[in-house]
Amino acid sequence: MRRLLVVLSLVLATLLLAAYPDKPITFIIQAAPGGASDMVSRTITAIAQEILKVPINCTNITGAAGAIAMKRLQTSKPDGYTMGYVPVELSMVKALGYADFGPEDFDLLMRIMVIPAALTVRADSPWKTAQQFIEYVKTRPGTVTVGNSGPGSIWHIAALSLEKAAGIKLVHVPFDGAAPAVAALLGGHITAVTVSPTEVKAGVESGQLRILAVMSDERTPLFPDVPTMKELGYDVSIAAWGGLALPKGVDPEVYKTLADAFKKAYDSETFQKFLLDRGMTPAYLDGQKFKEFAIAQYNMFMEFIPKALGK
Amino acid sequence: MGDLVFSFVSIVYSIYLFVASSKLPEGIATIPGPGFFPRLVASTILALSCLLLIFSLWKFFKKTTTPFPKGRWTQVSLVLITILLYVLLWGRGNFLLNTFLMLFSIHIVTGSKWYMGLIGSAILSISVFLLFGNVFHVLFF
Amino acid sequence: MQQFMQGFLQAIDPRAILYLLVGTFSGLIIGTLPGLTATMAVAILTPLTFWLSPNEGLAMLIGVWNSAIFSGGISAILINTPGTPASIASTFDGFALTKKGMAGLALGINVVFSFIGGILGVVALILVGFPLARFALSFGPAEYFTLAIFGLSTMVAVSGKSILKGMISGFIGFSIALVGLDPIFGSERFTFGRMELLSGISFVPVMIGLFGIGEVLSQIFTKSRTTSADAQTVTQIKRVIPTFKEVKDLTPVALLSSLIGVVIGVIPGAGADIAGLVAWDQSRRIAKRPEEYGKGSLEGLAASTTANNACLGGALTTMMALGLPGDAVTAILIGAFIIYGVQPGPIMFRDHASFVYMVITLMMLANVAFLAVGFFFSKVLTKFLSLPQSFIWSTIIILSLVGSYAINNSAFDLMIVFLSGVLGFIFRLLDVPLGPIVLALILGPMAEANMRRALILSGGSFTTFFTRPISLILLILSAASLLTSVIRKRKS
Repeated sequence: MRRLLVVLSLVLATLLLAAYPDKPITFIIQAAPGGASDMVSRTITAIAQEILKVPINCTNITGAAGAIAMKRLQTSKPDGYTMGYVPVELSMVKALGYADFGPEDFDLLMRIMVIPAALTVRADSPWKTAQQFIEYVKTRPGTVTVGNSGPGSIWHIAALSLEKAAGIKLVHVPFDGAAPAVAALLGGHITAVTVSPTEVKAGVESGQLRILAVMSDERTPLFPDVPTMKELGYDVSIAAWGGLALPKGVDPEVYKTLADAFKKAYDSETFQKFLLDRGMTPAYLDGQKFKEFAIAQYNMFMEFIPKALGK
Repeated sequence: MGDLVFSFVSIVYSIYLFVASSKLPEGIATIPGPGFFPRLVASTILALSCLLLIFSLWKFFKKTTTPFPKGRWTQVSLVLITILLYVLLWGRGNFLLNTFLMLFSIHIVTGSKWYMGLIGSAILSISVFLLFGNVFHVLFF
Repeated sequence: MQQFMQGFLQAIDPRAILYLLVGTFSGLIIGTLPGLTATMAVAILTPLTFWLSPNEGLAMLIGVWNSAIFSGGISAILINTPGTPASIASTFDGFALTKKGMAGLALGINVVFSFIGGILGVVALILVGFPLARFALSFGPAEYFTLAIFGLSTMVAVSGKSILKGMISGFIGFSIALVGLDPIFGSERFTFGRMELLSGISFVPVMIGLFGIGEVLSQIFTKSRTTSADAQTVTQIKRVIPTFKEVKDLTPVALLSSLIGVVIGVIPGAGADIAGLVAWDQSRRIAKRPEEYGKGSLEGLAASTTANNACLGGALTTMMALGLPGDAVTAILIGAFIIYGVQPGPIMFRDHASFVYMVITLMMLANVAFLAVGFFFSKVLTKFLSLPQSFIWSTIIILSLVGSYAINNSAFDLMIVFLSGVLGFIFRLLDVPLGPIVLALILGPMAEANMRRALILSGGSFTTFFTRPISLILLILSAASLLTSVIRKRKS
């Protein structure tokens, strides 16, 4: 009798597993509709649901730099029917004091892309290179205003890291998002911004803005002529990134099904074109490598943020 | 009468705000910090409600104060309790059933015939479930 | 010219028109439901556009956007609950007209003047798009602060009978807006250690609670749909389509409101909600019967409905001419443009001129589309008012709750709706006006963040608000507006 039960449950289990996925998957997006995270999520899930043959329903849950959504994801049932998007804030929220989790509390599926920070000034300003700008700031510490997308945001951290690496003192002006900061730069209300190249693309192409340097390890495909800070001799590497995650403890079979499907979606021509159009650097990492990367970032932020922000 | 109550409650509220914001940093030199606006708001509410208190006391003693509005307190309280229960029980049980029960109670409390309430609540809860759950992909339970 | 024809032809392609109508219809429904906003409507439909060609996809998105802003006014008029934040000011006169038994006419005014505003907004984009966009850039933190002050000067006008109570109510609204991480330092304020409060109390649930649930509770309390009129008059729909004379009489107010709507729309970060409120207050200066504002004035309703739709043309101007989002919806539209290989910004007018003409034509057509179906849709919805009271009440309650939950899938927001509903009921009971709370909730954070930002830029010197020309003008206008409102109140 007992053996029968075991066999039965095994059969049942295989049947159930073979059937995965057999109902819609819920996909949690940690940001408001319209932003980079939202667009990436909605695009990749739209392609992946064709591959998985079940609908993937996207849901936006905003607040606390994405911490609320990630908490929700972390505490969801690890049955493969709830997954979500995780941005760089996954490695930051604990350091910022918003939440008590880090990358290790999730089963990370894959990294999708990175967007570097970029130091941008007005085109009619006297600085042609990042060195000139930094030398200028050195002569007038604490007077040059630099806009970012909010206190504790990744672009704020970018400006703080630049300060530290170049030994300069800036005036940080937090705005409510990157777009208002760029608007203030265009209007001449601030001197520079440290947001993503995507946000300043329109201004650069129309000849109103100039990117001096990007803060990633490699140049961005969007502006291949712009040097990196590392090339110029400043040890700064700050980029926003995004990937996919599941609650911890998902069955390996289910994990593999999802990983394969989303890898296929990632490789699709539509999605690659989307990433490049939107100015994101495609940067696939598989689950294991993504985890190592996210933990390294986590350790870096835990070290840097409390000192820089005085939290 | 209403003004008297309102001014009293807002005075208490403004004092609470003031105390709660006292821990927030003041700011550097003339650049206001996180604590500046909360204290400004608290003191403005305090000043304005003290004024209102004086005016309404004046009216109270001159006996020109308007009486408290009369109405159906039982019905309102019952509806409020129903909504509160619904909100507190969100995520427990079944969305359709919870919604149906809340709507049905509101119907009964506000004087619908029981069969009208039954039909109305059933139709409404099912359409809300279908519209929000299937079209807008809202996470129900 | 050839570019224009190409864009125009793409816009009037039958398939594009079909998608435009699909969008318009979805927008009508989403805009009418309290809680579901135009931003959400556009966001939900955006992924579908990947499978459509640019003219079809944008036709759908532009259709949703325009009609959702229009139809938010319908619920504002019928049930005193703004369907989207853009229609807050439409509740002031819209619902008062419903109480007078003129719901039909109010809905008709909403259709006609949303259309007029929408068209004038697009006309402004065509004629003065670039100068307007450059003007928007002159807005720095100091100007945003004084703009917020200008908006807040409306507080006296929306205070009802007692200015004092209105002001207290406004500052209570301000205190609610303080919750969360502060915008400059990121310090936690009044968060009680709860993660849900870090980003502050969401505006839409508060608005829906105050207006929707609060209104229902006070109706149950007084056992009638209204206090001033009996149920009979309310269910009288009367005619929907306004007469030519009525429209003509309201034209001056509408023109001023369109101007206000466009200018506020152009400024990034200031959207249709602010446009509606400011236009409602300022248009009173040229109104024929200013004393009727707030008591069921056709002029007041025309002002708010014109301004919020005119705002869209302004927001689109900023987005196309600068490549910067003018509001939350244009932020999503930028994404859609880029998907179609067009980077919004000045060079778009050079490299993708036909695309620009197509978008402009679609904006025009979207306004025509909701004008065409709006009357019918409004007329059908007025039937809702003739349902028995219990049906109306339970519908508003469940839509308010689920609609607010839907924005963020947050059970916490449900509690916010409930508590705001209780607050809204008590305030109605004590005769405390709700307009100032909402005004402060929208403009308070804008005022605080920008004042502090401006002072960081000026190194702590307050003179920055007086030495910058636009900022100074706005301060003078605020003082004048405040003074005249107070004098008007004293008189009545």
